[in-house]
Amino acid sequence: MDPLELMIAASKRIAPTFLNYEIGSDVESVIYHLIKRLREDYEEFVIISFQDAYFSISRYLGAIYDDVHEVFRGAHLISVNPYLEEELKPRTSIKTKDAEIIVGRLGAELRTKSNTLFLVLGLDLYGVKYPQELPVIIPAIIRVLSSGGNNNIIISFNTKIFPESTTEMVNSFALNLFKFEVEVENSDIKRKFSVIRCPFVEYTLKSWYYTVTPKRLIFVSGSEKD
Amino acid sequence: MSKGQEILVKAISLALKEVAPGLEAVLEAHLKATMNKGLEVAYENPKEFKEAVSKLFGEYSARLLEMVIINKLEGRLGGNAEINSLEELVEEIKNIYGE
Repeated sequence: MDPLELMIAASKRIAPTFLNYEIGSDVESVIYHLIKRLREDYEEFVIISFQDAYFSISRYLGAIYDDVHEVFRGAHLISVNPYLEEELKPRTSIKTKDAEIIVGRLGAELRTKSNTLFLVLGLDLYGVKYPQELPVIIPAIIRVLSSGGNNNIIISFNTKIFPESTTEMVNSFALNLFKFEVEVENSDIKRKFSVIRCPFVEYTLKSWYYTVTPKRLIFVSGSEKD
Repeated sequence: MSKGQEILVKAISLALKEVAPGLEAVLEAHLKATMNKGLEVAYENPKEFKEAVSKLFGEYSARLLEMVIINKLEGRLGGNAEINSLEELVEEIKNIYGE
């Protein structure tokens, strides 16, 4: 199975799906391709964006892909601690650092939703700013979003900036775990995708190098770098 | 290099080593090629530095790196105001060191 198809199929089968990315891995493009393929399969599309993450991603994707507005149009946007994102007119703004209040507000708004595609962005940005809140918010947000039936939950998260205990916690909650790394050789950047955990066990620990093009993601087997 | 500039460059270097090991040299090469400057441009023109990082790593990663840099210095600067951007951080350092 092609790695993009694998992520799509795995995310439909079980949730949540964590995209564990490193800086430079161009995870924005991966998110774009995933959402583009998944969106039509769900009744609703909800973006929960912490610390302006969606604002950053959409601006970057808008510079690369012509149809970004089409892909993300009509999304139910909830902004947590927006600074620049207010200009995107989120349906809800939550302005507090308190994890329990944030999850309470999210629960009140989203708990009854089913057959919904959830995209959670910027939890890592929030965790850098409020590290003591991270162990509270991660399990709680997964619990709230998982409460409806047939929900697909995609969460991007950079574990590299956090201590080992945070990485272990994230990994323990991720039913699908995909890793996006960067390898540097003589100032040449290579991007690598690995399957850490997913229901298709025959793919566990398999890796591919990938290239981002305007039309698609191109994957080559981990043994072939070029 | 001024004291404020030195502090910021050290913080950026530390942040890069932590969150993107191996990419510090790539970023420095990119800054050199596009602006003929090093990491010190972050102090001279934080907005331009952020744009350069965004072009290289993407805007989301640039925002993440920005927050890690702020996190590295915010506690040490001892100010009461919350710092949300590299521009605000540089402003705060300049105020403290009178630069």
